[in-house]
Amino acid sequence: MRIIACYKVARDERDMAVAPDRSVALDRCGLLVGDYDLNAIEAAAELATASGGEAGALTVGGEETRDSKLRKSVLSRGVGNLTIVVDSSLAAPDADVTARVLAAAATKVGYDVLLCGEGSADRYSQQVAAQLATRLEVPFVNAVSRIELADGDLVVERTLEDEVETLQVPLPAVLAVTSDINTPRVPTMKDILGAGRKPVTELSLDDLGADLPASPVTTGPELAPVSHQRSATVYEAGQQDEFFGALRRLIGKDAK
Amino acid sequence: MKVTRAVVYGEAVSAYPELCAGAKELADEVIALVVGSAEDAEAVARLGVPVQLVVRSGDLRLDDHWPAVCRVVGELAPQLVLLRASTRVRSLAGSLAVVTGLPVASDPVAISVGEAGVAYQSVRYGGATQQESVAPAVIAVVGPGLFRPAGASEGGSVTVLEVEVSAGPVRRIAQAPRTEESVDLTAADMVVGVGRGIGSPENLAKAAAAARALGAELACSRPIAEGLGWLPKSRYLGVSGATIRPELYLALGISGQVQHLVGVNGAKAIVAINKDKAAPIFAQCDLGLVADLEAVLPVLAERLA
Repeated sequence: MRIIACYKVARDERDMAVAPDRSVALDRCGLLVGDYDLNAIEAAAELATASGGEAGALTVGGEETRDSKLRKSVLSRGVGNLTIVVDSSLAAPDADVTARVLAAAATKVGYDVLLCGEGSADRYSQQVAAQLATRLEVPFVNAVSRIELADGDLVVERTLEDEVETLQVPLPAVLAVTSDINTPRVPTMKDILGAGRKPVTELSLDDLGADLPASPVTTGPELAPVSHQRSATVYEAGQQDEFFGALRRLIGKDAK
Repeated sequence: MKVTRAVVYGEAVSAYPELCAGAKELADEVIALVVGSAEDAEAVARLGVPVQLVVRSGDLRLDDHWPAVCRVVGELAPQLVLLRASTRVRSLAGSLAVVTGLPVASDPVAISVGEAGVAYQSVRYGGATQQESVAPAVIAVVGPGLFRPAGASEGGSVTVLEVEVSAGPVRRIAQAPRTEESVDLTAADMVVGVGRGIGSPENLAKAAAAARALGAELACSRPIAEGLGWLPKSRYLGVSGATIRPELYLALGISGQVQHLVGVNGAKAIVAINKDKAAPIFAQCDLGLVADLEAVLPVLAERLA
């Protein structure tokens, strides 16, 4: 069974500095693989162990996907190989572009199961997996909270708002896993040293023959949110009486 | 300014008052698509909108109806598709995007219509940044609270669609109802929100008791629902959770990360109690108290009685 976990390299917003005009310099922030993607990578590793199959990882993006520390980090988490699709035009891809390129790459590499996280660390649109499956014309299940093998198919548990479904999914298929499906492993020193020897394949959009139509979407600059001006009257612990007095007036319990 | 046509869809009838009200502000013509029973369709039609009904086949999963929904929406060719966010609907949105070629706006915090089409504000990094996008036509997946619900109105109708629905490749072996309660935080005048600073399930119980005494709904930040699992996910506020506009939001042990504030900024008043004087919430509130919740929780309800 060939299992591929898809992940996205995102910026670490904790490094983000906001200018007075609300603009942000994201390209100066560090890089990371989102927590939800780590769940997909762990699920791929576990499914490969259970099936005696092979787990790989796949990402698409700009230059940032070449970051050697992140590559090693991904390869130290139980997957045996990595495929990256790099193009400068993929620096800030939306769900549509990401799904198109992932579909082309997955078709080229070959797969039985494609695993995605719940959403990316930056956009969290929760769209890529669904669009990827539709493009590939294969079955899709999101909110997958457990995966088991069953005679060549998978049996998965899907945790919805109102019920939990147990589903038989024929392969090939795309699954999006929840954040509580597993606890991603913490790589050991041996895992990290071994990661450097695992194969990485770099593909270009030309290699994939991916046809990316012009996007109908025009986007503005990415800005920090407008901060709402509130009076911010803050009392210290010793001023509880004053605080509760003000709160009672605020909710109309006492005259203003 | 409005687009010509909007189609709205939500899993539950209760989603339509908000969806229809929002769509009427943004489009000249609003069509409500319902997958369900004739009664469901009648209930939605009472909002004064034309309803197109795909009769729900009881033997099939709701997801098995998505190909039909995609065909119907594709033929209607709307400029705006408003979907009420849910796990199943996020899957539908992905198929619909590929079938129609329309971009998806996931959990936008604002939608408007201008010269260039539908404009929407998306949040990134859990609310740390926002970005406006414009497209001639859009599929928007929206959570509760973005629009104010519409009341009953005349002029509704129901058309039953003749569409073929069949079982998909994914087969259901079993299903079990989840005990997780559903709650409408958007309807409450007063909401008490708890964050990690609440410290313990015992303190959470005290906060819940205070909320009951005040006639307030209890809500939380995402880590309380997702990481700790102390409250159901339906009670978390902020990005991909609920957006509220109550008269008062009382934040207990909430640090005030942007991810959370996005969901509560619409409150008329924000009042915060937190023992960390440096918590960002104190710069974003109307009234604050720097105090240990261990000491404040026992007297909270009584002091506000």
